[in-house]
Amino acid sequence: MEKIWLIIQREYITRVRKKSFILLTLLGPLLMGGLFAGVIYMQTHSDKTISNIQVVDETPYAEYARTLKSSESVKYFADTASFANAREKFNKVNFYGLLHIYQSAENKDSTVFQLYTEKLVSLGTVSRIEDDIQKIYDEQQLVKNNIDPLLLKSLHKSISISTKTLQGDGKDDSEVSAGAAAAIAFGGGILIYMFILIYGAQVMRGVMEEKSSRIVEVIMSSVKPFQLMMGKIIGIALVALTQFVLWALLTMLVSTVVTSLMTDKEAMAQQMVQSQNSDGNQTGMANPGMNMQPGGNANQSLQIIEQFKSFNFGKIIGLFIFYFLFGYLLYASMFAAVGAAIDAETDVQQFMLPITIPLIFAYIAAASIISNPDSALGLWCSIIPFTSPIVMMVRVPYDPPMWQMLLSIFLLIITFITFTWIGAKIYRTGILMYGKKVTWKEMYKWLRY
Amino acid sequence: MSLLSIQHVSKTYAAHCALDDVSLEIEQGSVFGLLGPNGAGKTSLIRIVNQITAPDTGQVLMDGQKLNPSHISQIGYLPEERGLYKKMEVGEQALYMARLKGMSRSDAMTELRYWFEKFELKGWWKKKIEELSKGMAQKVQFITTVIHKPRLLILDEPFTGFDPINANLIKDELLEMKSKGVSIVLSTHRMESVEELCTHIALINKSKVVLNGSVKEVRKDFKSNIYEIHYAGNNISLANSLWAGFELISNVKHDDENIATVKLIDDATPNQLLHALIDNIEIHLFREVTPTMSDIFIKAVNNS
Repeated sequence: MEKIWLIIQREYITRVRKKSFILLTLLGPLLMGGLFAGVIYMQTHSDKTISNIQVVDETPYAEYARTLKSSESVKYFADTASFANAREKFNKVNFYGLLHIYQSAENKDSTVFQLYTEKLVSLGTVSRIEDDIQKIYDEQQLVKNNIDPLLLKSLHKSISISTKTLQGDGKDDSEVSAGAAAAIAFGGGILIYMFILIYGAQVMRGVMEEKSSRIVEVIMSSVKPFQLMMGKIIGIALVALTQFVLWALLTMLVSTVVTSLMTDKEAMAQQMVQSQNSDGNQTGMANPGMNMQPGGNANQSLQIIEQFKSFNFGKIIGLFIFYFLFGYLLYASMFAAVGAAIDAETDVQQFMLPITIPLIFAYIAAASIISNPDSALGLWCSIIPFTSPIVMMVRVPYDPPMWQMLLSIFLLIITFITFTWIGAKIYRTGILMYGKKVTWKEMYKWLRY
Repeated sequence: MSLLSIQHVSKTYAAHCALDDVSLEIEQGSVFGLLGPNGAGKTSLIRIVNQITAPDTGQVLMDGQKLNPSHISQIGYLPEERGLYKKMEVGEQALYMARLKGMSRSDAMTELRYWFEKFELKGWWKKKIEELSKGMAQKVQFITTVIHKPRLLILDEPFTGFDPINANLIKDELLEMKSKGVSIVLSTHRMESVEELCTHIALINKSKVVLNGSVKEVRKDFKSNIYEIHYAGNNISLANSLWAGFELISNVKHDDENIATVKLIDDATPNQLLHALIDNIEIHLFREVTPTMSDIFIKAVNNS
């Protein structure tokens, strides 16, 4: 036991000291924090660039030119000149585009909208202009049909659904968001997938290094092959855990700083909005997303954070660490066996593929399982041990039945033990075999030595 | 009692028989040359002694005890296929290997200081292995093999990678350890180092022991009974003076000196040969032609 501890120490210390590890550990949270901030930013702040559009309206009453209202992102400038004139004098510096509105030559009732731009126009800008025109058109139609637009507006109310899951035992029904659940599910799944691949490959590289540098026979005279293999696997697992914990801590730090910076300056506006809402809200639903005032942005980002808080993170993190560790352990012994069996770098791909296929499959399956966590695919993939670490992690935020979790955990542990035993046998024989081209058949034979 | 006793050891890999009923005794303080062509089974035997693999049948005793993990710290092993972690610091690596052999950190440090001083490696403690020359890396490798003061040292081609000066340094170290009672098993193809160092040899060919004994005994067994005579005088008179107990193998003139080789047949003795010759020719040199280890090796392999 003391020797295995020495090996774990060596594997751990030599890796943690590496510059690449330190760099990745420090940059990881910045990247993730940046991603987090980016998502919130994109959700709350729309495109702020302003497009100036010159409007030439050649319809009889030039109604569009008069009524098109400039918004934050698109500003309209009506021009009374003829289109041909306007086109000739079009000022590329001042204007993003030239909107030409005219009656269709074939059909007097149909109006043609044509946008001319210097550069290729963005989809966002087009759809914004379309929306603005649509509004005017709709109002025209209402007036034509003797419907009061203001009456219609007062009748309109946008609806949004808030979700809660039923809790027994008289507990408060917990408010959850499907979006937050998907984020946690996919985030957890991807992290496990990444960690298994990255650190599994490290186990393989480590074993290959020992074999190709020929240090392995020297060490074999001091320790058992199984000790060396497990020492390496556990040492690298600790490296991965260290990285994960540091990432989690640093990410929390970075995202806290970022979100507080982003929400602080809007907090005032948001409070004002809430007090306005409280008396005018007839349905009694606290739904900050409904209001259209600028304060809604801050509200949304707070709401996203609030939604995450409703999950049982103790359970999720506990299960994450379990599936991460055992998923890694299951695959690591296979990676170690492959590293021991192959002699040349060129064989790596051939032997790695069969190991990575279930992982990649689980990753792809996870995407569809998120939208339907209790499907048959989800059930099977979360119980079969080769895919369960990733897929069950995806299902955990959706509270799968207890028996499924226990079965999945049980099978994963059993398979981990079996594969470690098999991996150790292949490892033991392969590690001292030099200059021999290995086949799958050969590896099967080693199991019986 | 011998330090290591290998008794009827057999080992088979799938269809290939690596060792077939091998029995050897290795005395304390002896240098045991383990010889044999490539693929004869030497490495398999060495791996069994190091408990890297286990024999199918038979047993290995150390101090009369069946091999067990407690013996690991008493054996030092320098395999032919050897190396070090290239990216690790020299000192750190040596310390790691010493601790794997069961030494405490402080003991290992004391010993390492001594050896690094002795082998002029002091300034290299913080360097990485990949920055070392091959000879220097071999020195570090040797230190990690002997650092824990093993009672049995198993060296597979220990002199490869050394220049003659450093090879001598290692040789002197081995002789000193031998004088302290360490048993050394030396597996090598360099017959001159066998001649220089070994007290006992065993030859393994095609998984069987074909020759085993002290160097003296083996030499005696392979004695050719051929004598070389440098002389002045008529070469016909030499031939004429030989009687039935002797067989003239060659008789040539070389740089004004006649050289003849004569084989003694049956119970004829060198003294009888001298008697027969001394009245007819003038003898300048008379010596027994002894087989070199290389000769013995080739002969034994061909015979078996």
